Amino acid sequence: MKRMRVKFLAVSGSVLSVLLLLGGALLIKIAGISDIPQAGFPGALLGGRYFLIILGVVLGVASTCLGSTAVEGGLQKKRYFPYLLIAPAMVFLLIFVVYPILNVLFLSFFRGSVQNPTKEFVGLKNYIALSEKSQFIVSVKNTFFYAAIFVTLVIVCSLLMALWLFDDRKINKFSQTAVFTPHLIATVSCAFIWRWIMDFNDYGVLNTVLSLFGISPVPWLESSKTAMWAIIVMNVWKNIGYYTLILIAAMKNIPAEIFEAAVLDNASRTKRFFKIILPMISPQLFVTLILLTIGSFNVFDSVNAMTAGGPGSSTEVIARFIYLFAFGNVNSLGLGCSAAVFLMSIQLVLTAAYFKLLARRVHY
Amino acid sequence: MKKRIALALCVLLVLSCTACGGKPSSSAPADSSTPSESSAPAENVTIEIWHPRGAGANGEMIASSVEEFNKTVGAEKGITVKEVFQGGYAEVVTATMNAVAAGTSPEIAVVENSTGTTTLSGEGILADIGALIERDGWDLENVQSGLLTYCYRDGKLIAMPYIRSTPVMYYNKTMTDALGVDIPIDGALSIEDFESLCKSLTKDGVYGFSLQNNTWYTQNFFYQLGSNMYDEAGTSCPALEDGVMLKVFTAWDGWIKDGWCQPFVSTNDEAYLEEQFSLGKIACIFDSTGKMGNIFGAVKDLGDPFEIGITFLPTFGEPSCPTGGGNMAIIEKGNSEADIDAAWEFMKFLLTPEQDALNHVNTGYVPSTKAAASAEIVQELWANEPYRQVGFNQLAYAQDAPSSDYGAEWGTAFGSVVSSMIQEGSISPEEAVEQLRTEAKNIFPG
Amino acid sequence: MQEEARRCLRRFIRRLPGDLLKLAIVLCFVFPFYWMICTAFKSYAEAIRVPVTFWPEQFSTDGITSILGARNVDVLQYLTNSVLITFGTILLQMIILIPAAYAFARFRFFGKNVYFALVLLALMIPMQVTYITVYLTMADWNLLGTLWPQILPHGANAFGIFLLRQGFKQVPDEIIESAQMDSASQLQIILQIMVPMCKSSILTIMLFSFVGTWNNYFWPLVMTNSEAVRPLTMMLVRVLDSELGTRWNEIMAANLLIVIPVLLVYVFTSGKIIKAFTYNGIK
Repeated sequence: MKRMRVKFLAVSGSVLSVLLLLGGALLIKIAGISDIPQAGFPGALLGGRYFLIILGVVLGVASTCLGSTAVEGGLQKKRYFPYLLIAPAMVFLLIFVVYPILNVLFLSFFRGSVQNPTKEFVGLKNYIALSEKSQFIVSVKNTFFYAAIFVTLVIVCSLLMALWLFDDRKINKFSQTAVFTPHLIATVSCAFIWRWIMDFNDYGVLNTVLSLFGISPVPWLESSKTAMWAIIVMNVWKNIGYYTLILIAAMKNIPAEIFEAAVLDNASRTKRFFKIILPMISPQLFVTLILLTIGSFNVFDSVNAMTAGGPGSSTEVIARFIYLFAFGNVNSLGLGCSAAVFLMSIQLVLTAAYFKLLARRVHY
Repeated sequence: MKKRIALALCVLLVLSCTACGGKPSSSAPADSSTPSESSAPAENVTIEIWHPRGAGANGEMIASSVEEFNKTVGAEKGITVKEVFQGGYAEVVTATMNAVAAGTSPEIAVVENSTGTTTLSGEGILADIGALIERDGWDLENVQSGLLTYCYRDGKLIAMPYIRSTPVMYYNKTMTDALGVDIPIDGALSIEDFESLCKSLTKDGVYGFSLQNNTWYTQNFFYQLGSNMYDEAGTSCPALEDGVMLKVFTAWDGWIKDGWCQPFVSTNDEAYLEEQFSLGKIACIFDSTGKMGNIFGAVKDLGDPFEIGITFLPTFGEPSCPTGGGNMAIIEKGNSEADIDAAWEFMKFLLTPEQDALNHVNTGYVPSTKAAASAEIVQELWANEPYRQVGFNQLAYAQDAPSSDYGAEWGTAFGSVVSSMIQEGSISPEEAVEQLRTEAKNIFPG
Repeated sequence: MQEEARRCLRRFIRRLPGDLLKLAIVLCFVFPFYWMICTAFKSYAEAIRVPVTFWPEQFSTDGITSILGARNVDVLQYLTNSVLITFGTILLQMIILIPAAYAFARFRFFGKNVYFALVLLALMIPMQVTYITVYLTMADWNLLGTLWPQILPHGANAFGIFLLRQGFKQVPDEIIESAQMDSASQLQIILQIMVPMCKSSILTIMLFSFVGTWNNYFWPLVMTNSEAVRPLTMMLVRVLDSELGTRWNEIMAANLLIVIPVLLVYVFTSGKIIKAFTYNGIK
């Protein structure tokens, strides 16, 4: 009972300290911006802009010490030791993941440039401007289109490939190796190779080969009807091997007895697939799905190298929009940041949705 | 054994630290923040010039200029110049702005003369060259006035013309000769003549013409029809409202539909046009005079060489041409006074008649100064190869759109809409104008 | 005996269509690489000649020599940068993630779940979002002229921590307990027991890191503004910017330089890499 109370105290102390730290950080940032009226800030009243930070750190350390006393033995004698071990990793994560997320959110409320990120506080104006920018809307549409098709294709194709290349035969091993190789190659390299292959000119090798079969040349990357598909094909080509191997590995882990039982029951092939294989590999499939989905929303390299968003804006994607607006010619950091926040939210929402909808169906 | 491994790991770590840290000696911000003593020029100063002059004649030119400077003026005044190729014009601007933010400013940046200069000066990071000119009593009258349009900002001179050009029409003279057509070297074809010429040049596997997706050329067409891309304040696009844009789009769209004008490609459209022209697959292209050296070289190297002709840009009305290419600007922010002085020294060196003339002769960029135009090597060149003078002569008809703070974003939107219309034919010129009208509402204020 | 042979033959014939299809698919996956190598050894004129030649008519090293000799492309510089960045990243990651994974696997401490959630969060957040701030931070720290912006931000390898924690968890408790009996220090336990026992996991993480860092294009694109610190992947862009025409033979030659080291690693670790990527990859 006493332990529970200690624990509760420690947890609420930690939460409070995190809030204090956040508030302190915000205070420091705002105090650095001349546009915002300075007078009357609690920080200024309490003596210095670092006050909240210091308070937060002290409280955090104290609650952690308190909390530590409530944790049962384990291996350690010295209670501070595990904190020492994770400290470097946590410092790096704080600086390069947590702070950037918060800062992007912060900057998305400002008009600014890379030189001067906080020129003017504009509130939600960036988000409103974003929703009116046709370039952004097109980018979002394209990204969703890309993600949907890409994820579906990769999952379906790699499942089929995995089933097909499952048996232990030389030709299968060889095929697996060949199919996997593109995964190791840089996306830009692959993009350039494919751009060269899909060249619409008479010297484009894909059109040359197709013409042998009597198919007239297609301007793969020069038409909005095919450009996105070309990018998808390239990325599927690059990724399929990896996921095929993962699924094969998962299938290899299915106990042989289950299969034997199924064969004895005279279960049909499709039935075996849906009743045994699919449920047994569902954990891997689930992780694959999440990783693929998150990854597909970040698509940048292949688009930038193959079409640079063209023709028209038929292959513009969110990541490129962020790049162009935050870092590129347009140089309006706030808009880029708000687009980045948007991108991040989509990914978080989708991941949460996956967990909500699918996690129950996954058999562990 | 384990200890030894741990030791080895440590050594490796230290090594990699020093290796990584040792890199930036040239651009370390410490250089620029050291207190400068302008009274002691014996102190060695190293400055960097960031530029977009890549391979070929262009890259060699700037390399030789730098070498020459370091041997002569630089050696005397204790200045060492390093030239850094940064990619295209856009990359130079991006790299410069990011470097300024990072405190590793270069001393000189060669940026696209309109949007590039505007962007940099908008950030208030450029040095006032006017003050330096006044201090040294340098002759500004000597600079071609047509090239100074974007060099001023709020009354201050913040840039100098360096690799400036005008676009001209390159044509396959072997083909036009075969048709028996004579194209004047010192004047512009009317658009009607141009259309019929290109039509007759088109045959199996050869397009008469192709135009890249670049506002430079479209803006010039607008101008010829009495309109412009931006108004004086840079806050709207007049051509959008007075029907001129529609007229130009309709014409261009018609050229594509008639089959004698090849649509541009999505990426690297300029390089593509040059390649196809050099292969004899497109008969006429518009391109900068600055590309002259490279195009002549490529025609010799690739496929069957042919004779190249050069003339003014064709026109809807009176002849006109935009100017283009790069200005050089001195970055003030993050650089000491000694750095800025050194940069100005190098700038003056590049604008000496000898260097300026060499730049023109070797690459085709127009002379920035009047003195260079009358230099002996230039006069001799023009006498032997009259077409080399076309770009310079065209300067008499130079015009430039007012600059706009919204130019970068507007340009992106414009390019994307034009791409849908020309490259794909998925929208009509009317729809294109309509789409741009919507974009304009979002991009321009008010 | 004859019966046996006949059965083999029948099986062979039955499988033939499927196997041929497999070979066709393999061809689809291998051809782009072939085409890259083939183009790299053509001259520019031949690369854009019609009809297309499927084997260099005239074996030319133009592409390669012009890259190696180009005034603006210092291959050695790019290569050194790539090597330093890649190995620096791997080293830094190892130093950070081994202790962290150890703590998460073998200790119970207050707030462990929250800290681990932080690691998982890092798995989700893409660098397409974080780079803006990281760039500004690096600018603040005056590090942009160095290779550090390409190493430090990747220091905490969330995926690695996650993976190695699984590995460390599988080490039997008895081994550690007996080591503690022998009064081994924690450092000794980590270096002499945990690391050797999870060699394959660690190798996997290193391989992932190697491939990821070596092939990274986006990060150097946004983090660098001078050639002095750019890795090989950025060289491609430089080559593409050559002044006239898209010189595909040069681009493919540059591509070769990026691809070859990875393929070498692939060949040398052959079976292992596939195993590492899959069997340990997702669990």
